[in-house]
Amino acid sequence: MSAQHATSAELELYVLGALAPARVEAFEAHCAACEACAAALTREASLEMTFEQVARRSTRVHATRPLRAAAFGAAGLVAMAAAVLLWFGRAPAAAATAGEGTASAGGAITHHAMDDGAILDARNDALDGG
Amino acid sequence: MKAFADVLTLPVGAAVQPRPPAVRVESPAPLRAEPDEAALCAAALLGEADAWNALIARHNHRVVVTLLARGVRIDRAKDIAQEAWMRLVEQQRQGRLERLQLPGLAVAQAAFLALEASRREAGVRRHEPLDEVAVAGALTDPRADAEARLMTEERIDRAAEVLAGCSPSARKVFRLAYGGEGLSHADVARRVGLSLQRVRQILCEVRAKLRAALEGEDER
Repeated sequence: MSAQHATSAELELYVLGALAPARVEAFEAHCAACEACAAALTREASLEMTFEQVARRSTRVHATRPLRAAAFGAAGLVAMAAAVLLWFGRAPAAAATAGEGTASAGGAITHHAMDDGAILDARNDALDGG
Repeated sequence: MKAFADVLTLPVGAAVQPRPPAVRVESPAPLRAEPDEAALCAAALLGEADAWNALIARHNHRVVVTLLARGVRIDRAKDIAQEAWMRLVEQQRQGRLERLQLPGLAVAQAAFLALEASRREAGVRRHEPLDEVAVAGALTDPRADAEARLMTEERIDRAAEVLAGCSPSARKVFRLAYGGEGLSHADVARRVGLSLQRVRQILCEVRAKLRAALEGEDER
């Protein structure tokens, strides 16, 4: 085993694939035999993998941000449309309710008169024998 | 083990050449147009040895680093990566390879081989007398696994926050370099319209910030 331990700069350069070709062979031979340097190399490689996960997460957030903004925009538009519909839907209903206030007695009488008429018709039919 | 050259009848040097220097390079190399990944994969699927060698040269180091991160020793990692590429070439020759997405496919193949090797080793050890301490150490608490996953997620969140605090151009460079597309630094430089040296400078700065954030988390 080579006595020269791997430096942190060498570990980083190796993981990046940028260690000087002349040093690569000795570095690899040392890390294959030295427990401490092998562990340090594992940590460095693991960090590199974490960077990739960070980049992927960042890319995902970056990609979903416009979609989320569009979704919020669409939800806002739907809410506004619903509010407008409610407003215009309520106005005629309110007018109708206001009209009912003056003619409610007549409306009720008409309704009951229609019912009574139907009952009388049914009775007459029964008396006539069907 | 057979070298790539035996399988592909091409010099092995091209396959194992390290990537061009990534940091601390004083004069930037000129940006040469590298062969398109999709075109290389299409040619490799047709069995072109040159295309395979170019793809191996481009992605082999990534496969080795993935194995190192899993705790595989460097010498074993290099052997397993080589075996993974040979299996992919064999699969292509047998017509069992419909798509080639790299480095993902090679990484998956290498991870499978590493798992297989560790199972084989465990099988060999089964005939040896049981080392109770080792067995106890190997039997991990599933709650500890879940905790470890959660901690990893938290570390990634923390680092993602640090990345979000970087400039938009730095974020873009970092995402392209580490986004899993297998882009070289020269590819990234071409995409963002910056010099190779500037791209490497940016990557160094961002990596240092993220490293500080991640290692700071570890120390807590």
